[in-house]
Amino acid sequence: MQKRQVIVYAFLVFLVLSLLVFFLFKLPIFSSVSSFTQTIFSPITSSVHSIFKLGTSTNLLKEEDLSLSQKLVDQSKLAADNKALRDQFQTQNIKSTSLVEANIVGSPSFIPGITLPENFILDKGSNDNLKVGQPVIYKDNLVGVISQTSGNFSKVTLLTNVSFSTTAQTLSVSAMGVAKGQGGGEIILDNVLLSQSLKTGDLVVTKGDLDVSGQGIPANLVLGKIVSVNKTPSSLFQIAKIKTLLDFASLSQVFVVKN
Amino acid sequence: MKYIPVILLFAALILQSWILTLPLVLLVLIPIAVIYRNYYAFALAFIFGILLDILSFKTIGVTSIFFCVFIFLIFMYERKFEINTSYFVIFASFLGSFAFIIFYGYSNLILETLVSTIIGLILFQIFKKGKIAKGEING
Repeated sequence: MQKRQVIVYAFLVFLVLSLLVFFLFKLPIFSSVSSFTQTIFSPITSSVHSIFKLGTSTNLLKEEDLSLSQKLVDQSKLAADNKALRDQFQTQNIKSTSLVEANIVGSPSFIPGITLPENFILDKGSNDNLKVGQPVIYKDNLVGVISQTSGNFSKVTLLTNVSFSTTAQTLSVSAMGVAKGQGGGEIILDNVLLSQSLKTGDLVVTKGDLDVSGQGIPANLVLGKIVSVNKTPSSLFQIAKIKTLLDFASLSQVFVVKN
Repeated sequence: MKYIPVILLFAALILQSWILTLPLVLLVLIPIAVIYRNYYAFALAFIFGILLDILSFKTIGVTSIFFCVFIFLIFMYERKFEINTSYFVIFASFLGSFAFIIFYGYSNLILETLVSTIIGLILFQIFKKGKIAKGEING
């Protein structure tokens, strides 16, 4: 047989073999062959990789830089935590012993610059004795209430959420009403009698709706400040728009009031 | 000396799989095909193509097909040109690397092709020197 013919046959044989492999290895039973080969080569390749990637002084410096950046982040977080705890423990309204500190680890549907937070996810859950209905505060301000819990996480419905409502009163004249979340960062004080006087700039605080077991929202937690009043003589009630004093988007730590 | 091509292919395989994006396996296969001129080149192309696909987590068999077709094209030129020359190896390495880099979508097409061509030429000279030293071909 001529040499040229041998080469053509060899080409055809190995081409067919390659095509066979190409189609056969699409079957799941051959995936173990791939993983077996990868396992055989892994010690060699990992050592080669480490020589090429980490052996140079530049790469070592980069590693050190990354480590220092991590330490810096940790230190900043520690400082922020300390400040938040110190501020919270200085507030007199609620005993520090009944507070559980929790970090905000998520805020579903919050897109910075486009939407405002309506819910928070906390890194504490039923394993830390958190229960549905417990209020969440920051300093003397009400943030929201726990609406759902799992073992290690819980969901907070913020007071701007449409599903949130609680009884409230103004601080100066004790005009009572119902604070309701309106979505989009807005809260209103509804059901305030026309005879009662509402003023722009007045602080609105919770009236308190604790039950016999001590669960619920305590009194005198700040909800926000009145920014406008809608009072028409023909209506039965007057409505005030409230602006919360907290910037929910920048909060990273809150406190849950156990009872 | 007999096993040097295989050792070089293994080294190229390791480097190409995890470290570099240069088509080193192809660059070793080209001088093997050009200097040895027998069907073993297809066997090596087939085996190392499959190993390369497995180790680089690509569709298994594709690189083997590419290597086999490319080696076959080299043999097709055997009648028309003298393939055992540096010029032909430069031409083959350039075209092969160019096609391979486009095929796998790597970046820096021109730079990598040029570097690959130089590496291909160096490998060819090493193989050729080895063969001359053994007296298998005349310088």
